Amino acid sequence: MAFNFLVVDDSRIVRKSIRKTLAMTDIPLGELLEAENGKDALEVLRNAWVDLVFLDINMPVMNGMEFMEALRADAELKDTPVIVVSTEGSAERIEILESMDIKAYLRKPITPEDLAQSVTSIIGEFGREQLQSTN
Amino acid sequence: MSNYKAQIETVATRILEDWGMMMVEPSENSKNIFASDDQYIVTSVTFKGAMNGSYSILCQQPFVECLVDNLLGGGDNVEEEDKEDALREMANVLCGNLLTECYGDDTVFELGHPQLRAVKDGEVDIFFSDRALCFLADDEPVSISFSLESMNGNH
Repeated sequence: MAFNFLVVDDSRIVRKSIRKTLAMTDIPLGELLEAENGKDALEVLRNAWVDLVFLDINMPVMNGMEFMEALRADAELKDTPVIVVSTEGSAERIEILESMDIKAYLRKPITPEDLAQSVTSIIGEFGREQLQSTN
Repeated sequence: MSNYKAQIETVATRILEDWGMMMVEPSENSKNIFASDDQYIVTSVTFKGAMNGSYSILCQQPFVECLVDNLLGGGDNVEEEDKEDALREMANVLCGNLLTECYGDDTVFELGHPQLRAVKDGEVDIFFSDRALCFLADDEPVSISFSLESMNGNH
């Protein structure tokens, strides 16, 4: 089963490096989608199935916090898993994000190993849930 | 500024080594470490919060190319936009991490979007003052200037 990912970051280089890292893991890859801001990301999610979102916080047009509020308020999209990847480090903001049910918070700069480990453990969780639902 | 030099050095070294995969060494605070015939590039990010201020990085093209090569693993078709983007992202990450290092996880800051510009020779003097810190990353010169605003002027 292949997994679809969405990388939401206004930095092209971050999007490229996350895509590169994902391609180096053993995770079966479906589509690797990208968006430059939260607004574009919501549009992508309304038109494509995404298994996991990588989300930056500090973005123009619609930032990561605004995106999370919109995502969790959307009946169709509210259960979409999200990993936050951000320079943002304040305990207060992280607490708010965790209350919005993010899967993980990775503080930039992230290493490919950190990213791969985080994704692998979350994907593993998906696999176990699927197994449970079929038993 | 002198109060923050140690933190600037710690954070810049850690991030350029771990993220940029570059070897970082201290250097003299002098324009001489830069190539006189190469254009300077400045990337600046402002921040607001418990303190307001700005974080700026001075470098030249060879540093940028080295950074992008390391970030993208080489071999990719690197576009000009990638180079500019790499500098902006570097400024974003360095500034964000420095603010956490200086003020801790409990302090909230809003970072502006990093701005990039070419500068002329005469405009770079601040990067060689006691308000800046120079070093070499993979033998390429870089200078960082960090300033805070207060009621009475800059720190």
